Amino acid sequence: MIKRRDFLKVMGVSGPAALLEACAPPQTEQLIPYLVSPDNIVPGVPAYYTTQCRECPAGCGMLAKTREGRVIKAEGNPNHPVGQGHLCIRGQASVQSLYNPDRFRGPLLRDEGGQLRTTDWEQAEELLTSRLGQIKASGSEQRVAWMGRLLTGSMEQLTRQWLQSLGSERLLFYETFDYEPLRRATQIAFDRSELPSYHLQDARFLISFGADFLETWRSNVELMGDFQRMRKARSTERPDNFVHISQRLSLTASNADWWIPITPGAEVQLALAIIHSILEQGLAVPEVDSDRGWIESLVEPYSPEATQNATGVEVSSVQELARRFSQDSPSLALGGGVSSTGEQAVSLELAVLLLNAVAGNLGKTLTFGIPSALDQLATYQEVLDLIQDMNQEKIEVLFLHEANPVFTLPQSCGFAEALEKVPLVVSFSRLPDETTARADLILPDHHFLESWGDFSPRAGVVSIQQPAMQPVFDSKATGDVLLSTAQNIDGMASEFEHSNYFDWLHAYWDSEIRTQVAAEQSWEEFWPDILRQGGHFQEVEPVTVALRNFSTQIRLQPEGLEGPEDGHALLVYPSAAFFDGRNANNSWLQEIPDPVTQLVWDGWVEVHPESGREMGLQEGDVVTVTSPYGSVTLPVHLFAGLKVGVVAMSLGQGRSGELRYASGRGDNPMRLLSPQAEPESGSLLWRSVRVTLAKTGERHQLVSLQARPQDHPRDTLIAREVQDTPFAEQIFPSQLSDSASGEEHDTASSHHEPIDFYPPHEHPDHQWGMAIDLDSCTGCNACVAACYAENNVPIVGKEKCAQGREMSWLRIERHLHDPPVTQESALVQPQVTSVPALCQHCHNAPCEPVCPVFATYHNPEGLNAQVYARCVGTRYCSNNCPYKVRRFNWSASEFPEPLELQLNPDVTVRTSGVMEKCTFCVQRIQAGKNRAGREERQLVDGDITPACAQTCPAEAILFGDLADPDSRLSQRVADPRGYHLLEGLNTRPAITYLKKLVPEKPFDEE
Amino acid sequence: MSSTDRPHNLSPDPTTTRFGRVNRDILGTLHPGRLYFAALALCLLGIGWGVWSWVQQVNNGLAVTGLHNPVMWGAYITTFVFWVGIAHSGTLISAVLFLFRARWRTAISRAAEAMTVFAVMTAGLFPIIHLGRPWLFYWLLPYPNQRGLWVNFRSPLLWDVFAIGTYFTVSVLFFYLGLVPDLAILRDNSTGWKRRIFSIASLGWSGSTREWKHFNSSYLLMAALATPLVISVHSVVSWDFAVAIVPGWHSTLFAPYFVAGAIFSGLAMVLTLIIPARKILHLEEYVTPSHLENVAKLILFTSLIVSYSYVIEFFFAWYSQNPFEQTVFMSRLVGDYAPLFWLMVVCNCLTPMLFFIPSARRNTALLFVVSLLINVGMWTERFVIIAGSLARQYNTTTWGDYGPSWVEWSILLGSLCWFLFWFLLFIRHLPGLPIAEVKEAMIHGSPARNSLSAEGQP
Repeated sequence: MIKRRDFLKVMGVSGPAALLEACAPPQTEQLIPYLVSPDNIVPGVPAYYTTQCRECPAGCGMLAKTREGRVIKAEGNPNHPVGQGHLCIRGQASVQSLYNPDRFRGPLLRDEGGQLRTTDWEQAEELLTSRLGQIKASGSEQRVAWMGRLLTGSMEQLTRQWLQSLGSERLLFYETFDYEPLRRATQIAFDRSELPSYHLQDARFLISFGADFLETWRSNVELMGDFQRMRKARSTERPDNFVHISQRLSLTASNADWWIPITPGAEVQLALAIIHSILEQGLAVPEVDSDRGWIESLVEPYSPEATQNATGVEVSSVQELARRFSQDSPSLALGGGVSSTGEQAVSLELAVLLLNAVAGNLGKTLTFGIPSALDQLATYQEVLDLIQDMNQEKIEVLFLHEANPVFTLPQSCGFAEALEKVPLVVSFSRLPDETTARADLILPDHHFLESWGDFSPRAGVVSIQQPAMQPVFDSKATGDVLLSTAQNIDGMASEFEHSNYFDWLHAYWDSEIRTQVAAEQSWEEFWPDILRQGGHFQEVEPVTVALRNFSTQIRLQPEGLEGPEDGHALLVYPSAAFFDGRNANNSWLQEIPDPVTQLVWDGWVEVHPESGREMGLQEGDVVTVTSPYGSVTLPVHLFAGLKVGVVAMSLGQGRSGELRYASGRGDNPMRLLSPQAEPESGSLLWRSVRVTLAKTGERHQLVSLQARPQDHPRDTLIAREVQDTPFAEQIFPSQLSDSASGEEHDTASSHHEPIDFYPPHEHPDHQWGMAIDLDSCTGCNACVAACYAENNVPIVGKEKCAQGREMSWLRIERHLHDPPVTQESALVQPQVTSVPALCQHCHNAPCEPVCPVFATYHNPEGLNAQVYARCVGTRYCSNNCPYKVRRFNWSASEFPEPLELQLNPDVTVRTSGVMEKCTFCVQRIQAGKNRAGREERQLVDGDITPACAQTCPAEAILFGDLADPDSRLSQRVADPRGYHLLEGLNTRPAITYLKKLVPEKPFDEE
Repeated sequence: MSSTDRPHNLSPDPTTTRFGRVNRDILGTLHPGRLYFAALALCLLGIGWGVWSWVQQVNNGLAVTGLHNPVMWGAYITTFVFWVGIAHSGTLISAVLFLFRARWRTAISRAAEAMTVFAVMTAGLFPIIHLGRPWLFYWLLPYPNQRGLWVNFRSPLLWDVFAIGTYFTVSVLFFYLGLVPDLAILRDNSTGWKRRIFSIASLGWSGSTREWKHFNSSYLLMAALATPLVISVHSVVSWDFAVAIVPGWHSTLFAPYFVAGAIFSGLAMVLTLIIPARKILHLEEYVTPSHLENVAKLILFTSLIVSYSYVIEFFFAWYSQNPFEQTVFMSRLVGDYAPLFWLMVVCNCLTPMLFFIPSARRNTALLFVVSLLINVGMWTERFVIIAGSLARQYNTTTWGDYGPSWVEWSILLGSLCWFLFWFLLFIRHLPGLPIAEVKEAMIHGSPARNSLSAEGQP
């Protein structure tokens, strides 16, 4: 027997010893504070730099948020007229393209054996200098060509001067998507070769003939904002005021009240038929009285009756369209988009301009006198001419700047082959692409977040672009390259007094801009204002234009498509995420679903289910799509949002080269298109071929992030029968008045009788909540990208997405409803509601009581908080969440170098095995409170905005304090359109959704 | 072993006395053969494979499983509920039937108690196995800490901790208590170090009248303590699902439904274990077909309760007019989960109907086959409830189907091997029948209730 005393002795020693063992201090880390801190860097405090987004030619203003010298987030610049504080999905994803792991690390030179070898800038520039010096010395002209993205301002001036100094005028501003047919049409109709400006916000009825203005057309952020202003002002009696006419139910078409699926080429006739009907009904405005003669004779053969067969639209619908377009004044008709640019493109634009004229929209919703930068674009015909010159060996040096023509031009035009004939091909591309694969010298330009620049998307807006951080890699600003080579070429150095682009830009802004707009200010006064604002912005007065008689110039032959008669017309459309493929290597953009199809990480060809049945095609069958000019291999996606007889492909996937996220997905539709230019405008003929589809016998898994009826056909049928409560609720105008009259309606306000077991939570200071307007949300996914950027959400890749393990905290659910009105009509109700689904921060959260370790709890400000450090991963919370917004870390998240530089230091990076979800950007809430505390004031409404709400171009998401009766949110939740998701479960979410207002009568009905 | 060494006649002569023969027969089962070692080795192999699979999961995260949004619980929780359920039958047989004075239980009560203990041990592994961060499992235990954190007592998972912890404790104590007289017999019939171990384990049992009196009252008390656990533990486990918001889980029926199902599956597992064991260990005289028949009758009874529960759930779904619940149940009836559902109906509802036939109840081969089918059917039932409901929740855009991955199958296999491993050790080292009770039954019981057949007179 052990004695008690001895026992205690042993325990007394070994016990604490065992504890000490476990209490060994963790490894200490050396934290060395700044001895001399860099300017503008206070650790923990973000610094914002105004700049602009260069992902597309829209030129939205941007604020780059930096922490400790690294860019971590892109936001819209509220002062900037384009975008007005918002960014689209491409703008939000631009931080990832900055840190893209496949970026060139430095300049590259192709050696004798055809391999690209790394070199340094000195050597690279030396090669360039010697070649250019030879050319300059020889005095030969036009031997140097530049093909690059749209430039304005200082960079345009530099490039133009530089080329001129080398004896060349060959400066081609090349954008994959141009607007040449429209510009040609305005030249014909108004003698002004410029793109018009649109003022959607003032329109009361909108018809779009295929212009996808919510995705990529012109300036989608700005237009989406204007569109929402238009929608908010619409009458509740007839809430349908947007008709979209196209072959494909794009995202823009999904947001229309009525969609007219129309035969390719019949758009013009429909436009003319509407004009005919306007004239017939005597609704034309007096301003066109002097032109009535030629207009009437022009449209005479195109009465609604005569065109009915071609367009498929009933007479009554055309008449109603005409009536509403004229009477709901001012209205607006938008012209064609990329996928409707066929042989008739100019005629279509002319017809649309005429339609606007007879309805009296000129000078109101459609104005001139504000030239766009896009007016400077080179036409496709000019590119073809350059290719011809290249083939004839007239070009010695070709510069490619922010352009990938080997990918974005029709393969049949022979650009790649022509490159072989150019002795020196220089690319300034940052990423390997199909064109750099044929380049001799690669001089990687900075990313726009790393460099100076300026861009003027339209008159009156001159944006400044400033570097928000040091270059990540050994790239060099193209402007610097131009100037440093100029210094070393005999005869050029004298023409260029500045040795670097920074000085050049300053000189330009001083001499060209300040003298024009702020002559009374000194440079020292002028420049900081510019940097603070993001540029110089001023209103430009539009000019009045006179309609010219163009009846002889509108040609209406049937649109010819090359290819077999029994083939399908091919529609190629720009990708909202990848644009023209430039962003395909961005992992966020690959993983964020395509808003219309919800597919990820893939390219596909869209085929109507009817056509699929005829051809014996199933979803996922791999087919060869063949046109007279080439073929591609793609999996089939059955999509009912197509005009039967048309197949569609987006431009963007099918990339090749060392692009880890982009390569080997899908195929490039540019292999199928005709090389011809549209003769009138010189534009690319996007709609030019018919294709045939042939099964290869292989199958390919297409991954959708949203469960589809075809995934569970039997159970979906069952659910449809029993679930008559849709997740996404709509409201009809007649119901609005019912709700307003005091009928029982559940909102987050006090009308709801609590039937709770426990007493309600108390929120002494704030109660954070949100209102999401489903009538405004277009489903563009910009908020999703913003959330990924702000909250360090990891990417999981296609395989894990197929397994249902994507990590997005916020997703857009695309709900399709059966239309309430049944009608046999060409006008289809898209009946799509996009519902942003995120953590509802329920007052009676079902996830909270079931977590055994209190890793999720209700915080005193109304948030459902998730404590990553406490979570052990039982996953009960996710089971109990009826909204399925919780995401589990199935494995450790990966951020390949240097993507980890983008991570937000205010947000934990979660480990494997813990649950995560939307936190209402609690780090921003905290930052807002800290700021208010430092400034010794109360929080005011608008101090705190989560990332999703901040970027939404439609301003569909409103965040605020429900405990503050004066906040905008408190007003918004009292709206009769308000409801909660799954109201009957009594979860009492903090998010109020506002029902989408939909028409309840057929279009033709009064 | 001369009779002069021992103070009491605890080792009767097997050739001349009935008690002696009981000792010889039952103690005779404790000699392992080659078959035994082979089975043990296979079990160890299975356990090793399961452990290795789990190591993969710990290293690579739960990505190695088939789980995904929205099915966050799958094979692991199914198996957890399966093993907890099986445990209940053992306590039913050894404690509840004891209180009801059902003397026929004697033959199988020891094995059933052992099954309970090992099933609870197996079940208790799974709440740790399925965690995202299993090294922090102890955070589910309420211990004082410097952060001032308590566990969330409102969470059903916490109730599980207490229920299963209690159940394990009580079952082990009850099992041990009942073993004490038998450990004494083992002590008296062994030598050397084994004798020393059994001496300590048998707590100095001498078989005096006073000791027997204390033994009986404490056994009775333990039985009474264990009895409510039969109802409460699986009710608590069922509330893991019933208090959740998931359509298909949220039902007041779950507690009695699961308790009945637990007893049902446990009885089947008893048959699965005992029928081969009695054959291999030559205990046919002690575990007679009439014992097995009684088990079969209980199986039939609980099967009827379970069938009733299935039907009533459909009634609830129809009567409630709750579209989400109706969707889940239609999915089981005619939808995507119909194959599994109907498999479970055949195994759990239809095959036990055979036991209405008296001769079927005494046919050991049939009993064994049906018990295996019931085990499969009951695992499938939990799978349909857990994964089938999670896959078809409120929002159709979030639906997703689940299939276990090789890791999950491996761990299920490993758990089976772990259970069998302990059971094999038990069979080898401890008497599979309660020797003392068998003898007691011989003295007190009527010929019809005797463990030995009427002809078994010396």
